[in-house]
Amino acid sequence: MSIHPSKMVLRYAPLAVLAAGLAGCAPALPPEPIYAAPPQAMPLTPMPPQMQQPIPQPMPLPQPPRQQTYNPPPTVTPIEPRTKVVAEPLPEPSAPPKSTAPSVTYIPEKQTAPSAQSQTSPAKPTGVPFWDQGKVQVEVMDLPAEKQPAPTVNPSLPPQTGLGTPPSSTSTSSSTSSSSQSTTSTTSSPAVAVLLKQANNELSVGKADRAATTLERALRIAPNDANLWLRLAEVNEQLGNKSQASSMARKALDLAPDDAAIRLRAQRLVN
Amino acid sequence: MALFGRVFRIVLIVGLVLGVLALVVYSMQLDEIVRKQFEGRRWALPARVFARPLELFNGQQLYADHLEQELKLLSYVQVDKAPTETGQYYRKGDEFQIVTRGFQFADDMEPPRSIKVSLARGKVTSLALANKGELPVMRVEPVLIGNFYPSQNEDRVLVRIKDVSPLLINGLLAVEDKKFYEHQGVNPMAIARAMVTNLKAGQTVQGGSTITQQLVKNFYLTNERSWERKLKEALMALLLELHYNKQEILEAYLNEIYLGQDGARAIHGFGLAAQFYFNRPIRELKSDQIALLIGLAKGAAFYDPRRFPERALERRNVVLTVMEQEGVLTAAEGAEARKRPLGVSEHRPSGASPFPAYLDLVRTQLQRDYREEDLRSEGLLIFTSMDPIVQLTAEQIVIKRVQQLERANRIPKNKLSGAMVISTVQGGEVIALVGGLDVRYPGYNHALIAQRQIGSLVKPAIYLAAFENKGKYGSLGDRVSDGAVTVKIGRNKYWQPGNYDQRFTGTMTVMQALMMSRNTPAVRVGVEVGLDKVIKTLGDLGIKKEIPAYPAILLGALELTPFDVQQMYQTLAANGSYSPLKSIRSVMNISNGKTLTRYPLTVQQVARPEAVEMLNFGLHQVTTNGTAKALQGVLPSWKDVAGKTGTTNDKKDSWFAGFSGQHVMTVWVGRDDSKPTNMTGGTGALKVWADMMKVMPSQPLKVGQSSRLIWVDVDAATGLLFNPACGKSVKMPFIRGTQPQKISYCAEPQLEAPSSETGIPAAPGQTRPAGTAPAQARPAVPAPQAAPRPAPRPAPAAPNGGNWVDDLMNKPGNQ
Repeated sequence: MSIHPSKMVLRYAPLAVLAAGLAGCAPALPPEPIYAAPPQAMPLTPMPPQMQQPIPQPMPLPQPPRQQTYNPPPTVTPIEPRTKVVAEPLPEPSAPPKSTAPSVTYIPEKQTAPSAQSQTSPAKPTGVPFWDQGKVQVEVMDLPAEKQPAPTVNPSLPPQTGLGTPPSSTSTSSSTSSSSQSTTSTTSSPAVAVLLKQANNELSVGKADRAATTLERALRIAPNDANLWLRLAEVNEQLGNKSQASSMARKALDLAPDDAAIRLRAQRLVN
Repeated sequence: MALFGRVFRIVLIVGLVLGVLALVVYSMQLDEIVRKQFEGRRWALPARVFARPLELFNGQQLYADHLEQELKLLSYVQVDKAPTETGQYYRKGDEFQIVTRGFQFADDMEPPRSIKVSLARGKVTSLALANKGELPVMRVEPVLIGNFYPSQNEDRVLVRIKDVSPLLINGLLAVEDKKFYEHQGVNPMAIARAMVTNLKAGQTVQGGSTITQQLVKNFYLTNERSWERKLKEALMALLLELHYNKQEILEAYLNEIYLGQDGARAIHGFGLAAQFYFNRPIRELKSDQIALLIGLAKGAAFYDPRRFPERALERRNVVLTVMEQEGVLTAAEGAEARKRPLGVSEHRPSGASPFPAYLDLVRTQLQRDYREEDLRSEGLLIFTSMDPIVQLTAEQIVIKRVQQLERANRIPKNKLSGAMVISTVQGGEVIALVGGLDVRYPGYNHALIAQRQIGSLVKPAIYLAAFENKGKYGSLGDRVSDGAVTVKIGRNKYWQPGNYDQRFTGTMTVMQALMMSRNTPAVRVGVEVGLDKVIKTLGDLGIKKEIPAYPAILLGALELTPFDVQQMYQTLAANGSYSPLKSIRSVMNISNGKTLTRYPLTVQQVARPEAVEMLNFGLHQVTTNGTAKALQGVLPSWKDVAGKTGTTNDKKDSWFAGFSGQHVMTVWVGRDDSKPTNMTGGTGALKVWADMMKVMPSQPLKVGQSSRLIWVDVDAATGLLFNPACGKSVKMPFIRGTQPQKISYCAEPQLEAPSSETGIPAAPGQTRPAGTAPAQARPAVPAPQAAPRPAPRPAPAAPNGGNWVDDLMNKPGNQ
């Protein structure tokens, strides 16, 4: 190995001399073309003394730029922004329309919440009125329902499923679904509410993709929540996914055909 | 002389310079090697596949035992008082206290938490932080269900130095390299001392290698022992120290060092070793366990604690003593740690996935987007939707019930096989997949690969096509003849399918035909609607393969895998909203913690929801009064489901596909050699399905509750409005506007003899009670003679035997 690389030697000679010089007095800085820039920049400026005398230094500080493989994951600890935003922006939902493009979406959002609540509000406080409420709704619903179909028809009750089933309310008639669905959508456990809020916050900081992930997570918890579907439709619209936006809006309509607020928001996306 | 002296000096100097240059060049070459590997991706990291994270929230469907099972899968330790460390839980009845480990999801950190959970009757009734803080929703970290290993079969779990307990670092340095922070990569003193010791002993008993040298050896060099290699190692160690600081080198060492072997899989690094020997993350190790791992660095095979527990124990105690001497442990701690047993987990966590069938699905779906090589080396984190509890339950049930069916039907042992797929209704996420009875071993995956005829499972698609087309058979209440039918399939070629029971029972409503899985009505309806429409409906529902336009497909002479069938019923269960079945939620890059690919939820309405809802009511009736009514004896009464049985010719395949309000499930039972099983869908697959649906927490199906449907009391036999004076009433849903307008007539209906084998045109019109003949005020079909018609010609007496399917399979092919 001592003889052969004479040509190489020539080629590397200048570099080698430099390297030898450097190696002689101190470590660092092998002048390599590729990495030349970053390593030089570093040792030269901040800590020449340390580099020259690395021996006594017991715990060298980790040099951030080198740790390629271990780049700590998104140091944007997601929790903080979330909680921060949550704290303030309860009023914000109505405001942000200016900031993000079509976040007009927030406004209807506000509208639905109250309207949905007003529907179920009797149910929630009292506790018992689960079916009471169903009946109230049944009447409300049946009025329009009976106008349309032929008079001879005798809309009767669907076979009553299950005894005292928790979800399928004992109330009946065509409107049951809507009533029970709206219950599910507003019962929307605190879990769903929290996730919805989180999604809204993510959206307001421009992370639509993440908002979609969060909404999907919420939908796994409450798969029949029309509001969630609609929100996901709106997020998909922001992501530029028009066909999904439309399909999901339709799904929301499908799940809550009698919810005026949802209809209002969904209609825009369906077409 | 002087000249010679001068020449000599010149030669000497030149030689010296050349020698130095050569050395410099050589070291620069080494330098390049050192840096390249250290800077670049240092290791090929296996891809990790995770199950879904268990969500906890108030009202979540969850049984206490299932929660505990999940914790066990995550190797949580049960303690008998309030837990204090991550990975511990305390259970008292239905009350849990858990300290979770937390998990870094793509951009979403789930922090470690100390929580209290109470459950009752299969539901979470309260969830809160142990310190009474509110906690509306959280995720337990996901269970690791499999790995895709790099080709050289190295496995490691990367650790960062800041995540490792100081005890490990200090102990390691105390034992392996006391002067680590002082030397420059090589410690001449240590080498000298080792040489002296070794010379004295006459053999190698002590090494003078620094941590850096050991890393270099592991990292860049082979295991050969020679002076040349030693020198190279020393040089590289110096170079390494030149470029990188001590922490980086130490971190690389922690991840690189070889600490064990599991078959072909090499265990590298402390992160994986902690899992491999103690079944828990490195943060949770105690001092004695840390000492054992440190001891293994000297020789993982020699001190293998599973094979040579005594050697390992001795080595561990030596390490503990050194740690004590160096002040890493106090004397008391050291003494206490030495008293503890080895504590190595008995079952060695295998690198092989316990769920190979599900992993097949994950791999297939990943291969659309990733190269095999990247899958195996880029350290991807793959988040799937698998529910390990459901998966395990499904496996048990399939095995148990299929073996039972095998015995009951006198089938030779191990001949009967089965497959099951379960997914969620909304979103189509596959949560469990059983590909055969050998659930722990990779093998022929029936659920994904086995293409079998689907028999009557196809019928819902026929009726859906009919409902969608609003034709003669546009609702469940329409009447259809169960008489023999003849379909012309070519010049002088006719197909005359029969019913399963070889009988013809006159006219019936579409609902009855569906409920009882009658063949001839299905063929009638299918031909009336048109084969092309039926095929299109199948395609819309998600069967993405070429379906030949033979009439025989109307009776399921169509080969599909259980997974295909699952897709079809998935779309039905979601009211005609098609979501491709998926197993992967997202893929994350471990090195930067970013999501690489997200597999978003998609929906696409492929059929009118009201039509599907009406059909689903029919499918529900199948499970209450039809071919699957056996379910009523098994399922709790509130658990409404819908589904369809399927049986193929000679009872070779037994199918059941169906859904609740929350889950879709397909079961196939049959033999690989395609011999008869003597089971119908109802006596085979249905039993497996019922067993599973019975125990799986699932929301009931909401049957026909949409406001688009209108419920009408109709006469069971005629499908007309119920006349209280006679007949039997049933409630039936109709799409608004299609409900019957006429009242059933009380005269004895003239049931037509089954002799109307005049083919499809033998119209239902004739079969109506006289008075109501023109009844159905539907935009209805003008005349029965519209569609492609077979000649009413060769009236068959009765279809011959059961081999008609074989015949028909051949016939259409001839055309």
